[in-house]
Amino acid sequence: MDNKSKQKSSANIYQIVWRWHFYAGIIFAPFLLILAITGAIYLFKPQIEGVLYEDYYNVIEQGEKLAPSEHIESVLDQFPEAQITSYRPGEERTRSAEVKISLNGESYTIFVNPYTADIIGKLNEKDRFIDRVEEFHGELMIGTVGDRIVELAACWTLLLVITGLYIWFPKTKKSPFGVIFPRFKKNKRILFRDLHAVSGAWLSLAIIFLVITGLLWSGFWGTKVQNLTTNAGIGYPPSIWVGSAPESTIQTKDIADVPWSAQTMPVPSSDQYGGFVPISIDDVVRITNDENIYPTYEVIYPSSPEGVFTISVFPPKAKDEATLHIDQYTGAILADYRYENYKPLGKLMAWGITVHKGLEYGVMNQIIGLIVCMGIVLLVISGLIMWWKRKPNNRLGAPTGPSIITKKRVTILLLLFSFVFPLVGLSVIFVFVLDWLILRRIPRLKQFFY
Amino acid sequence: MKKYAILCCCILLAACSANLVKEGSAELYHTEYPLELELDLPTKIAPKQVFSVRVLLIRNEVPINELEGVQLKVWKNEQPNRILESNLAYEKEGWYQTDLTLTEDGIYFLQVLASTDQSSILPTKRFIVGELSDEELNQLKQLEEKPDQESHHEHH
Repeated sequence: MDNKSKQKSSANIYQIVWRWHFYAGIIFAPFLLILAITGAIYLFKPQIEGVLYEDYYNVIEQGEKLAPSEHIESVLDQFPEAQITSYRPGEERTRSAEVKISLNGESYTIFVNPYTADIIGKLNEKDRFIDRVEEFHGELMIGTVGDRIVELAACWTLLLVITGLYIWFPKTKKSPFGVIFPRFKKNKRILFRDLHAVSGAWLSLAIIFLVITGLLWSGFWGTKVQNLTTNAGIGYPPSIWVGSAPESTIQTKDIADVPWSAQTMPVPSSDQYGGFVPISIDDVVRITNDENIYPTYEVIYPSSPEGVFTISVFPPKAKDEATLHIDQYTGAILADYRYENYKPLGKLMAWGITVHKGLEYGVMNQIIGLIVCMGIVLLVISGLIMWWKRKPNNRLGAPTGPSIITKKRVTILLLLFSFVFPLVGLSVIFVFVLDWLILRRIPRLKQFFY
Repeated sequence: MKKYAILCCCILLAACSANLVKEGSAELYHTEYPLELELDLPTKIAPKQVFSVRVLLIRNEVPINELEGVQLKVWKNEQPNRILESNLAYEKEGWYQTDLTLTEDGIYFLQVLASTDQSSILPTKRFIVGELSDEELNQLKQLEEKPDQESHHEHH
């Protein structure tokens, strides 16, 4: 190719990349705003909940704490119809114990004074503010469909960053202004362009990090990655994100029976009405404490006769994570998965998630996260302003250029990306079909979009 | 065009691939080999008659032989402070045994305590001696409905 053709080819690629960046930006702008704003709030979950639930959490130390079984008994005395789902001992001398129950189809946390077994308060899980923020962040509060939309937006954000970096990358200029520093002294158009492009370049790595670590626990891509890595023995052990817990080792036939009716049964004998009974919560807590598990752990009760007690703790630092499965009849530890037992990708993912949530490095982590969220809001708003100022009447104002298919290498890169992120792939296929069947064939639509 | 169609099919296949953790994947990670037991009690136990309690201890399908400190605790329902304690003696091939006599009819609990360096167990089995009175039948019904209550027995 001679110089002139090379320049023209380059210019075409630039137009194609810019065009894709434009469309992705316009379509996913609202979702990015939602993710950034809800994420910024969620970053401060510990502080927010510390204030909201101060009266539930704090107790006055008085002597020795009562046994966990007494806390449970106190809850069952107050709520006889309740099903206990989990127990969380207080991690400090001044912290209440928490008993989670299921009652009339609702889930509640009952806060118990560990010294007196008095009930301090009852909180419906539906009323937890931060949980609602998290739901909005992860799935727009509309369940699986919401999860897929958020995932799609997150994956497209990667394309936005990649295309954005290509557009930003200085081709000829040697000055750092407009590349590393914004130009404040020129006109408004250049200012908005620089606020968008320069901030974008600075934030690009952080945004990519947030997207990838956030995708790790998404319902589609995240689950696939977790399955792949767990199955390959390079990720998390099973039962932490994906896969099931082991079952209790006592055979079902040897377990003490389900509720028995006095009217219809003959006189019971050992083999009919005898059987193994679950170990006490006191033993479960003692076994857990003997294993030096990080103090904010939760004991999840078995949900079936074959099930196990699961000890689960996800502390601020990934290195303190632990999941234990305890046989509900023998008290034997059937599985013990600490951070040290995660394989390399599992450790990397665990660390990535705690950094994403602003937990791993304390307040600094939260503040940096907040700055990145604010940066994302700036990116979206400056992008939208740039578009609005240039938008012609009656048309979207998308950058013009040849179709991506005219550039084989770019198309193949897109397809490879789509293979790694299938939701993007599906959306690209959808867009091409929509374009071919409808947009290009209806003159008004064609005029608006092109 | 054909090339793109094939690539698109690959994308669809990748998207639709199965989402499952393989059985046996747990073996690729840190694995615990817990102590397991089988407990042999006679089907019918009469009061004031000697009966044999036999326990098989195994770990990773291998019988545990000559383990010291294998203990037994027995108590009657509603009398958690009156505990009968006994040691189980090694018989052979992972089996441990002791003889017991219980004087009263009723609902009883039997707990086996066994520990190795790597694993500890403390399973409790409920069983019946002789015939149950009406009151005891009611107690049994309550125990069935609220299995947590019987775990108030403190072993300190």
